[in-house]
Amino acid sequence: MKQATLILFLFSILVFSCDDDCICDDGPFYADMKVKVTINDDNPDVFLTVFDGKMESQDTLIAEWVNESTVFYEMEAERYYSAVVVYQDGNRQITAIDGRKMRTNEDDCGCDYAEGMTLNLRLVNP
Amino acid sequence: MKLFAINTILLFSFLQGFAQGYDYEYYDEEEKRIAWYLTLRNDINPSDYILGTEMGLVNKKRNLAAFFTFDARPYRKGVLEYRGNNQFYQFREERYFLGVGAEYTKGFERLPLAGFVQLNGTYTFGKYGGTEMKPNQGWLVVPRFGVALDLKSHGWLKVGYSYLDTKTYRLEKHRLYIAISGFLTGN
Repeated sequence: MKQATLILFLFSILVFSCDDDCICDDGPFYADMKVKVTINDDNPDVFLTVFDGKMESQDTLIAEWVNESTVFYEMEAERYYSAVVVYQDGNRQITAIDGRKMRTNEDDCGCDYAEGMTLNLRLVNP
Repeated sequence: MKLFAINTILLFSFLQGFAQGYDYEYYDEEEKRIAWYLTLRNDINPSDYILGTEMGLVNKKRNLAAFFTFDARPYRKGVLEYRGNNQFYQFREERYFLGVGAEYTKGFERLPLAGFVQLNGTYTFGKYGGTEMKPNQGWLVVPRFGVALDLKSHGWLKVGYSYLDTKTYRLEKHRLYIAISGFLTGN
């Protein structure tokens, strides 16, 4: 009986102390979106376009020349993003497309946070 | 050559050990004739990997099974599609398969092994990341055959060949099939 009371006491301390320490933000939440591209001799820099939603929406958020193989952008969570890069590969022109939703998750306190994500626009057989 | 000989000896020692005290009837007469089973299966080649589950009913007396299947590629695969005039689109493709099928198993004498032949009718569909464009979809028939090792009537370990056309542009269709099954009922 004594042991059960002790366990209950310790458990209640654990529960209430966690609640006391937790201060949750209502959002909006932001995290890094990593965009991977191919930089090579044919494509020393590429023109990257990032859209809010799918590429057909043509709702452009970012449009710039990129000369690094990995770039990061801070984006708002719970939204879908897509990205497009056009490569030259000899005579061929390759339009690489990728997109996904940036999601939120819950931490140990039950507070939401944004999860980083990656869009992969690297050439599959450059 | 030496290594091959050692491997052969080891394989036969393993099978001999496995078969010791083993009832060579592929299924025990006292077992229930109809049983539910669950399978985890893989269709693999150097350029692609499909992971799936199969759940079905097997008639142990007749060595026949009927089943439902769900398979998926557990990652997003980069695929190229030709659109004419030297223009290609590169997508990140998700791919899924829903199907039904049937299988016949024939046990070998004096070995805990059997041969199997399977036909799997499946509907394949998927999506591309970042666009409304859709990958090819539709019905497929996937034949599989190979050998099954009887895991002392608890299930099977199967290794064989499969012809799986994911309808993905220019992707190798010949695959290695590896599956492990366990009985859910009837034992």
